[in-house]
Amino acid sequence: MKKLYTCTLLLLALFGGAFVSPASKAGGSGEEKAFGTNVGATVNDFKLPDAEGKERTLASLKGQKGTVLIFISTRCPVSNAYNERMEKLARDYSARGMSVVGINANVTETAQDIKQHAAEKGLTFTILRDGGNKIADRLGAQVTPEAFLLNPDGKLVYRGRIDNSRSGDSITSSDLREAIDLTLAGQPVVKTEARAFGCSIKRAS
Amino acid sequence: MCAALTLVVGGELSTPVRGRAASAFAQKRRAGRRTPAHKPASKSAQPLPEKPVVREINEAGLKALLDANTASGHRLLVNFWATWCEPCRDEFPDLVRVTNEFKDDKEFQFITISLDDVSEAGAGVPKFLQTMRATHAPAYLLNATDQDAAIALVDSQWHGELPATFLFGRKGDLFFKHTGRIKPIELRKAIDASEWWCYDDKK
Repeated sequence: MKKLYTCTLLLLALFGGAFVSPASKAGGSGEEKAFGTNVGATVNDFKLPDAEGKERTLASLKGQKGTVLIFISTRCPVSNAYNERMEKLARDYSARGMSVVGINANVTETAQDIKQHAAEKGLTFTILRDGGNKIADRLGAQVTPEAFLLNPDGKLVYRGRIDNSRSGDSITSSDLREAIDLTLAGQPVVKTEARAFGCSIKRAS
Repeated sequence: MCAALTLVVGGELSTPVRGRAASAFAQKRRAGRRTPAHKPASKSAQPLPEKPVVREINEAGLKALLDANTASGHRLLVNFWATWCEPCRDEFPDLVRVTNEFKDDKEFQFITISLDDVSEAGAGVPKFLQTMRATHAPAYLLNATDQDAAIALVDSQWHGELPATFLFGRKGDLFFKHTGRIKPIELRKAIDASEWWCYDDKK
């Protein structure tokens, strides 16, 4: 009898909506498939405005040898700690056919914020504004900074952190650079995923 | 009956296994919490508690912490946060308030794990915890060489976004999780439900 009682209570708690998880928030099982892109899957073309409001497509921005999409923020201290490293990445690799594109999917940050921030921090690569989180949802981006590396065929070959040191003082694993170097060399990426702690992307809903 | 019910919800929560029956203490607390628990914290006149000690842990330390709790059969609430994380700071008063309601529950433990830079272990982190009066929760700072491994230890589905709150059941199962700022009512419901969760000992 006691067992039955405890279970009834539990059921009440459940139907009362006690449990919230990212999975249940994303909607039913059908919607869940639309959230996130697995490594190996192709990222289809998309269109987003840049900080000037001009519509840009992935097809027009992608590099001959591959494309790095990095979700960034103007306010997140973690993302800001990576400004110099992201800019260096863009400079180091653009001449080698690998383009770097920033995406700001924080609903709390305006196009003006993005433009001003890029100017102040000396970010010269293109930054797109994903105001409705459409692309963040499609790729499954959760934090800033978070990188997605596409090979020349548009296939996702790496997703995750830039490196393992937020401050940049003690980098022992340059995961994104290693993935880029392998992709440039036409070789498969060894470590295809590496997560890190960061600021959550402030989504529209 | 119990087994059938656990099956219904087994997909949403992690694999249920039966643990101990709910304590008499729990019933007492549930009855007694109705009155003073939800009053706003107007403690500004009171002096601040002493600065808590923040212990550094690495991946192995985190694993040992989770394993030790599983062995104890207690429920464990873990909040990952950082002083640089605005929503983390925003939700902290709620965390302190709700977990204080359970502070007499000897089978429930709340710990905080900061993702701040190591240099903050003796500075910004204890200072913030002191301001928040979070002295009932053992405080840690994760200094992991492989953050990815540390994240995977807690929940393979987690992407590392902060804040993140995890409630482990008596068998070490991940009972509830929430990323982003948590609503106090959801947290309270989850801690309550974890106490009454019935495990199926056939599994």
